[in-house]
Amino acid sequence: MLEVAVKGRADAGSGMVVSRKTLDSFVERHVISKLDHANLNCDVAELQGVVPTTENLALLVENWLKLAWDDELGARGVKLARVRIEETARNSFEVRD
Amino acid sequence: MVLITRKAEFSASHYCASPGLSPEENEELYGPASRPSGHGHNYVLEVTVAGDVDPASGMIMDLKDLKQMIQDRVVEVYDHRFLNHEVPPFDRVVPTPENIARDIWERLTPGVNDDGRRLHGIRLYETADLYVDYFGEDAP
Repeated sequence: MLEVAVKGRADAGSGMVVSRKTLDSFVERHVISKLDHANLNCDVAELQGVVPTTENLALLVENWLKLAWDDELGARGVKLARVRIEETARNSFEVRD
Repeated sequence: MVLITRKAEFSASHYCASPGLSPEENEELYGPASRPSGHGHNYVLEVTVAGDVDPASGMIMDLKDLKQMIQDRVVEVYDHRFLNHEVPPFDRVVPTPENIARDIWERLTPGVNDDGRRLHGIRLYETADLYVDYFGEDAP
């Protein structure tokens, strides 16, 4: 289970830091579509030669999000605060800026 | 400094529509959440207080006091209410979780902040998949 935390001020008009539709679509395109139902060892180019531990996966997710962040979300003045992956109910991994 | 967190729950209904926008624009921005008949959430609230541990009591603050403050200042106000119609400022402020968390912060700050302790953060779960953290307007 992946958590993506966005940091910023709530817009005075909408009352939101970022619209859920924008964030969901962003994460879907840049992360979920690349990982869902993939064999992490074989199907993900960035993980070739890398052990697909959840530590490495969290760093990769952060990197994918950062690569597209400025183009798509930069103008909104929001920042990526945290990527957290729950590997199981007892193990979770977090990357913070 | 030590952080302590107390959890509480309340159920409330709301809808999200910005007054300056048309119904179509609101539907585009908020999705079905913009429809004025409203919909409900079982909100889960986590209130975190930061402070020094009193050497005698071994506590930052008496948890019963915190529990009572959350009950009186938040749960009594929000629980089983239609926020847009019954709980100011949401007659004019869109009751997004961002704005609700800020309102809860303002309601709790005067009671919580005292010598050696202060309100550190509000975490509000609207659903299991969506929560907001608010650390005050001055947060970095």
